[in-house]
Amino acid sequence: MEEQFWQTTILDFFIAFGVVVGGVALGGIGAFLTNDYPMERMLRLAEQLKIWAMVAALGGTFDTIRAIEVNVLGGQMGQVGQQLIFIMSSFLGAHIGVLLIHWLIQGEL
Amino acid sequence: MFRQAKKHRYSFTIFLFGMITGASLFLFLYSQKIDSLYLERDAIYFANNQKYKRILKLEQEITKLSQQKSPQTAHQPETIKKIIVEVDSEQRFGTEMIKAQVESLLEPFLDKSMDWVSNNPQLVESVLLKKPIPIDEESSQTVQVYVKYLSFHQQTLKIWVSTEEVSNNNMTIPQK
Repeated sequence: MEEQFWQTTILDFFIAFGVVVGGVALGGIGAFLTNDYPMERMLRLAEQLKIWAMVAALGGTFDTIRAIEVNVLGGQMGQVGQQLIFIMSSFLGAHIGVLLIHWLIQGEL
Repeated sequence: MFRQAKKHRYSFTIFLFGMITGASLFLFLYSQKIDSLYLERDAIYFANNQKYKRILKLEQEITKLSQQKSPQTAHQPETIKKIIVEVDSEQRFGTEMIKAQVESLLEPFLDKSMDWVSNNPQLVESVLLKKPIPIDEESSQTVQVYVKYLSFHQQTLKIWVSTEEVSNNNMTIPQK
């Protein structure tokens, strides 16, 4: 059970991180090919993809919110905490992805 | 041929993957430089365009003057022949676009009396306040332009403008 929890937490982190970094990298190539400013576009994409990276990592916000609702009503606060940690983990993954992109492109955080 | 391609599909996949990885790395390392070059290129395009417009206008003037039989000696009010826009903006991108759009908005002031415009500077401001200017092709970011200074010198109206962003980034990726 505990192993499953950590597995999901780490998986959520890396999925969110990957969505941001991968999306920005490929978006940047697209911008370069379409004669757009690559750096500006990549930085903007990083901000825009952040929320969607979290959604993708959690597998759709509805399931998570539904799980929180069911567990709150069922009095299983431990489960609610777990869901919140999954959300936090995916947020951290997306945020670290954005910070990494800022650092890689501009050399500053 | 097809069989050969099928045989080496793994190599093709690795090749494509390597290409994308290389392109991404290149962009991460050099995107700042590419952006600066693009900005420089836009400024050169803009300057070139302005020069071309000026040449056309001068040619028209030459034709007009050569068609006149007798030179006019009577005093005529000085008119605006050229508008130069200087943008004071915190944004690094889109300055050339703002310049071009402000110039096109102020086009009605060309060939107008300099005295008339200098006595009614609020007209220039009211034209600019009418509509925010988009600074990217998708019009997701727009700025409001405010007049800072106006100067009138030798048939040239020079205008300094400051900008203020009026829209923030959408959370969704704009669809083309």
